[in-house]
Amino acid sequence: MTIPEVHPRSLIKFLNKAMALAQAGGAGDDVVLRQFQSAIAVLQGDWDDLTRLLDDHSDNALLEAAELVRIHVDDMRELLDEHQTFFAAHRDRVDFLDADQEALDLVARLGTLSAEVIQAISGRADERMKAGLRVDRTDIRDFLASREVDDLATLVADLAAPSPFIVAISPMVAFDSLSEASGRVASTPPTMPPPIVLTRQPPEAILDPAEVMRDELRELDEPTTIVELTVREAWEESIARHSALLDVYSRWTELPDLSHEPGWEELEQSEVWRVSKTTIEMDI
Amino acid sequence: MLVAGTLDRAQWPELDDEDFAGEVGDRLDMVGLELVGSSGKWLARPKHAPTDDIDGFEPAFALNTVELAVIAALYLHLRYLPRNANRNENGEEPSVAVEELLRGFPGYSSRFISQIVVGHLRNAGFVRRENDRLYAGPYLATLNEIEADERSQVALGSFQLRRYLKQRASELEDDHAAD
Repeated sequence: MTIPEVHPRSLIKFLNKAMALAQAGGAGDDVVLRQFQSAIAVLQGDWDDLTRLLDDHSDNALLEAAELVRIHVDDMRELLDEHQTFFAAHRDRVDFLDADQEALDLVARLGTLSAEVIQAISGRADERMKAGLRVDRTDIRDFLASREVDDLATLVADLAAPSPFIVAISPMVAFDSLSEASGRVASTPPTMPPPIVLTRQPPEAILDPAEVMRDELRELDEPTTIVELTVREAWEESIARHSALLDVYSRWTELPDLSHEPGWEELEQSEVWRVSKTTIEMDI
Repeated sequence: MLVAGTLDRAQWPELDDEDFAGEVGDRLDMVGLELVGSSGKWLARPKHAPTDDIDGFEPAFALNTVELAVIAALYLHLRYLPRNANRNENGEEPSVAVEELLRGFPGYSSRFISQIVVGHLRNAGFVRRENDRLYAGPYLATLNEIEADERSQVALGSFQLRRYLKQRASELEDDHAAD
């Protein structure tokens, strides 16, 4: 609320008088309530200003604000006293009760805070405050984090002069260094070896086991069992020969017929357990 | 030598002789410097820090705002705090972790503060770095501690006062909300 030509110090006093005049003039209760709410708004503004100034760095501004608050608080107490009867007569209205409660709360809060601000800034801090002013690492950390670098720099601005170091350089040393540096040769990668012609060699001939087995088959001159043809002492060799035999019959024609009989031939002198009874006939 | 670097105090006992030191001091005085013994070193420092606003003057070595702020932080950690908090009663040299210093400058990258700024200040003799801890260099030890302590006390006192009052304002508001 803005009231022209009224000094901020006298705002609540002014509103107090306005409320009295409104009541005497027979203005409605709502008019008086609005004037009272304006006085409360002044106090709420005081609270906002005071807490905002706690973040400011000016002790003078904070102290001035606290002293203005103290005047407003006293004026509000006076207002509440003078209109005590009026408020008592409207206890049945919720809006009057709310405003009255808010005014009392603001008076209490602002009265306490402004008194503590004035006491602290004026250097009359109580023992609890003094105890709180001991410094530890956390205080330093919080203080540094809360300040801009410009503020911190002012703490030592004219106290910390840079060292007057003037680098003493010997011309002899300088030119020796230049000579050494200019004599250095940039490193280069090693040269590549001369090219050579590679000789091509045919791959090593590897006998096809199936072809070997086919030749063995064709050289048979009497009926021969599969066991006789394929089984040898070791399992690996036996199975390799057996696989080669199967390969032969899958790849070539005109091979000896195979005659199968039911049952198995069981072997004792080999790592092979048993083989189906099959004979290679010679009548191609 | 004193205008080109520092002298180890243990290796220069001559400078503990009053007459000899007086003569050296007189010679330094002629070029605006003074002899100071600090942190086991003898060094020369300007008697008055030259200001940049002199026409035509361009300092060869100047400390910028961030460097001054870090010097202030180092002073608070390494000089002011040990004196005012009765620390280091075991006689250890005051030191602060690099990490702790960085917490005071949350708006800057850790690399900028810990390597560039601290590196420059180390070269200028304000700080020594051993592993991850920082120790006062000879030039930090030569700051006028009466003046610097007074400013630190005012700044820290104001900070603590406001922190306390803000806490009280918050408590009063909480009381109001509880009602």
